[in-house]
Amino acid sequence: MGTPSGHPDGTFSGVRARIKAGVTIVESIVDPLTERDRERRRVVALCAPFAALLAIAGAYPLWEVFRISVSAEQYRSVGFSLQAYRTLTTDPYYRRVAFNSLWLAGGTTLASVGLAVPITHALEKYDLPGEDVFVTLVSFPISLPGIVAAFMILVLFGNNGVLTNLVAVLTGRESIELAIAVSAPGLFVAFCYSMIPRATLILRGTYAEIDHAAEEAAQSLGATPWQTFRHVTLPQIRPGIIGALILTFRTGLAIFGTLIVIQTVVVWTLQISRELATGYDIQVAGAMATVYFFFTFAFTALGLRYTSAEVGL
Amino acid sequence: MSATLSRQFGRPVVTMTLFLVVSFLIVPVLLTFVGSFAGEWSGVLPSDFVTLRNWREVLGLTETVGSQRSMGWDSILSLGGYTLAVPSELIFSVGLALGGVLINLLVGVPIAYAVARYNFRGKEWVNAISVLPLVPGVILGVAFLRAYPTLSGTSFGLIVGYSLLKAPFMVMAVRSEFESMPLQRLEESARSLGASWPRTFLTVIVPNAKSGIISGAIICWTLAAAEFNFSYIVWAKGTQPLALFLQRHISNSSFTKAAAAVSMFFCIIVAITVLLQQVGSRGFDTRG
Amino acid sequence: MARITLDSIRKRYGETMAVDGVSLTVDDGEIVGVLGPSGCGKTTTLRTVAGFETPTAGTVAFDGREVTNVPPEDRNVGLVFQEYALFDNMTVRENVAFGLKMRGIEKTARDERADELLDLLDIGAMADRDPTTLSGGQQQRVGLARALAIEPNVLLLDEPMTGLDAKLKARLREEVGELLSDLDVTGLYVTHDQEEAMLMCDRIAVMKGGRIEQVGTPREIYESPATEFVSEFVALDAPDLPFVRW
Repeated sequence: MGTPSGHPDGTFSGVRARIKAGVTIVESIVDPLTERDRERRRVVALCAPFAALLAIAGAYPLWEVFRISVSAEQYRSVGFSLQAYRTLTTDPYYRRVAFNSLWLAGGTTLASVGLAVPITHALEKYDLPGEDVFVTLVSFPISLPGIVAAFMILVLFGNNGVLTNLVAVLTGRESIELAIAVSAPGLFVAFCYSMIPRATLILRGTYAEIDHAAEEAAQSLGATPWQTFRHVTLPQIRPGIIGALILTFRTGLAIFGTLIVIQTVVVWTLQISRELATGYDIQVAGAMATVYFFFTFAFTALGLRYTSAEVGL
Repeated sequence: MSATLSRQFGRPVVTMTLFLVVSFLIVPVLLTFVGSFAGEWSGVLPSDFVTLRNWREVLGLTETVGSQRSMGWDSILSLGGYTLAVPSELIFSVGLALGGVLINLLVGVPIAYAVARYNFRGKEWVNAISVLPLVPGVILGVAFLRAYPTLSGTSFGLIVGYSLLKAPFMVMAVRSEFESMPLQRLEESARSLGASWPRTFLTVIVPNAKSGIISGAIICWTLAAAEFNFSYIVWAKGTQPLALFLQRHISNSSFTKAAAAVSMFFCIIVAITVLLQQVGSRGFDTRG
Repeated sequence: MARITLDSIRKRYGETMAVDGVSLTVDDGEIVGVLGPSGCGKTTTLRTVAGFETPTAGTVAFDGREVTNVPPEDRNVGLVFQEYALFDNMTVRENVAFGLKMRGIEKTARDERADELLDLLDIGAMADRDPTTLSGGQQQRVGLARALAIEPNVLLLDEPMTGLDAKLKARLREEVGELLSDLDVTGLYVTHDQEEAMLMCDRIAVMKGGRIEQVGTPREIYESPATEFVSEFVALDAPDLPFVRW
């Protein structure tokens, strides 16, 4: 991804050699002679459809969003101005929104991955009756959108909620006072409803690769189940846990539908839609989208580079 | 943690966590389904069973107005006085999601093969880009509004958006299937027998990976049919995608009616999953 | 069948030289074994003949016609792998007929040819089965039939017996050896098992570090090894072989 000028041999002859090498590669793709060239052409052909979709549906629209966010005019991309970014950095409101996003996504990520570890452990290590059923049940909510997750929380903790009314009957208090669905804790639980199944899915992939012999060896040497987990299992699943933290955190930041139903905490994604809904401030919305993109890109890239995280399901 | 503590309580505590979390995830689903047949839901449990009123209203079999408006009906087939009609929101979302899945197949299967089969420079980058969602739906929605102001709210815009948002799931499902196959040997056998490379890919590699491709299609379909965030931002007018229809009911309708709308969605997901699995074990089979 | 000529083949991967100046001729109807430890370049040599590797230098010719840059699908070579690599989306018969289908041969003709070969290999009864339901030995026979169906210029066998149990190996070795000489197949047989090479091949090339140490009949290799390496490699587990072809 480095540019030629950033490269140590970025001298004139170095650049020429590179251009020449580039031309040779292009030639070999257009008119391949060796099997290696033909293989290169195949890779290009296989990646081309995805690249086309990425360019048309991803890169170009994002570029346009970036352009309007630094435009000098409100509805046309002309000139250059950092006004929208100045608003984001100076207005304390946006700082609070950013803070809300981070603590909500961060807290729910820790809670979800924290619960996903014992869940996965029970599913993969214990010989539970009806294990397949449990796997299906834990995976089912993955296909539910955020709005449905929010409804599930209303069913449990809303004004009409089952748990709310149960507590109301038991304590004799009003259910309206007890309902927590439309509150920050309710939102927290709603986020977890969406994120636990995803975290579990990622961790199950990691657990499948564990070396069972080492665990058995540890147990035969007298290690307790906890010691075995702590010293043998955990080091093996650590890359998977870090990967799950990164991906689940991304999921948490991206949640939006849940917030449309339970509008109690304003986070980054919700604020983007509000910028459009009230006054159609595409410049600020664009700046927020740009910041979001670079933030997630940066922490994902850094996370993958400087930890042993594994990405994938 | 002391040894006896760990031996005695470790396993029960972990198992208990599993039970509690599964209950947390599934109990509201079941309650919603049961509640959708209830006439009243204001106490601890829904009451006044069994009524189909909620379902009839949601499906548009009873007249409704305003924000609680139900699904419209499109006639798709007229035969000798009888008309086969389907709820329009439903068929609209089914179609959009299928369109998205089609694009996902075209872009996802080849790139998954490139990553699973070949070594090339920049492979890690291609891999990461193809399995990580680029941006969430809200942001893609804003970007679409800006880049394609007239196209973004149309069916075509929705399909293209869905396909980009859900592509990683297709790539992951298909790639893991490819990784379990002796790809190099299969490809080389077919080519040594005289099949050109494109023909090898289409007649040997793809049919051999059908189970992964089908499960990728199922995952992408259910996720696209349920897509809310992107649709919410770009959708302008006309028939609503299913998720918007659901949101309208959750936010505006009575609790039991919202429960019926959500339950209908559960039914669709279960039905399509079963259906596609059936197709998977018969339709794709070359042995007939 | 054809005569295969490798002339000073070199194949470099980055810094390492996988094959370093291999010249070898396989005469029409002859089976030549390529024997050596893993990493000696024998598989790369075979893949060069098949066309999956283009050599860094040197040429490959079939019957005097140079094919160095001809893609594998146009070379008409048969391949048999250790891992079978059968097409699970087709029946056994369809697997065997696949190459003929690619050549545009009409269905009844190619099915007839496939059945003929399957009978010859004693698995005619399996023609309509799903290959995944077959045993390892049966799958390997299907793989062989599939490669032979196209009447290849050369049959390339890459450790075809590795992974089968000893008893089955001994039986297949005998049967396949006879079949190949009956059909007058030109073959290149890559293996690390000297016993197998001695039994199946007319001549053997012993490789080490990308070079051929010695080429000769099994008897020559066994009785007068040219280098220390050959004598050690061949003498290891000295085989007591009543039916070695010498």
